Amino acid sequence: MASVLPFNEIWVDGSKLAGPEDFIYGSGELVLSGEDNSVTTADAMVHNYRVAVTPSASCEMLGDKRSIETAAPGTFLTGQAWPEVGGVIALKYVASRGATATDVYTIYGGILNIEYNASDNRSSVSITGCETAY
Amino acid sequence: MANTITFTSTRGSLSVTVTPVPGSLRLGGGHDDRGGGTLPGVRAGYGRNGSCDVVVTSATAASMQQTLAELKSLVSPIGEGDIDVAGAGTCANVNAYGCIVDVTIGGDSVQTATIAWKGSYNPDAE
Repeated sequence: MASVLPFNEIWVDGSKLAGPEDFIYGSGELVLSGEDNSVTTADAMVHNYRVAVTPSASCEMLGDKRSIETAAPGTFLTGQAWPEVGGVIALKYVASRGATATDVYTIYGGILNIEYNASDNRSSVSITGCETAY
Repeated sequence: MANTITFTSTRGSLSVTVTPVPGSLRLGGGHDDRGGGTLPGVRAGYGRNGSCDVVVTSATAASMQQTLAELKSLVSPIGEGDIDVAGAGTCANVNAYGCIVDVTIGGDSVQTATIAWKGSYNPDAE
């Protein structure tokens, strides 16, 4: 049976930040691509080369979720932010109500960016980072 | 004959066969074109790029579905593209070598994955 979402839970550094109740159905996308270059040799052969794997993900969430993005102040509206190294962002999938989430993909050094749109009361979430931990 | 596309690589013994969603196959592009404008155009390199969609399943694939683990194994690691792509059945016109493969998982109904590859022709062909 096909599952219906790429992921519906987000964990950062071992803490759950959002679950299925936050996700807009069908909005998630996980992109597993890379930073690539190519060289053409004199026999018309194109040699593609991958410099780095650059995973990214995006989804939509219900309501204003800016308080969970990277480097957001603990006291969100009145607090002060500070530069912050990206954390380990784990994308997980809950297959049924109350079930334990299974791992979909882990992004290291990940930045969670969120923009809220009041016209439809949803937040656009984008996640970028590295394939491996530093 | 099944309508499938097989991805193989000697590195890591990759061998994954997928069944594309009918009508999702896209082929072409990836050429290295130079010149133009004040100079004659030249196609310096001949690419063979393509993509297809597959349905993702959370369990072991039994029919036209691929597991997440299979799809993640297709993503090219750092280094030279080394995945060969070959089709069968209605996908028999798929044939690319030395490919780099990307996977995008999304879909607003059931979960689907777009597998995209960029490679070149068979360097050993006569």
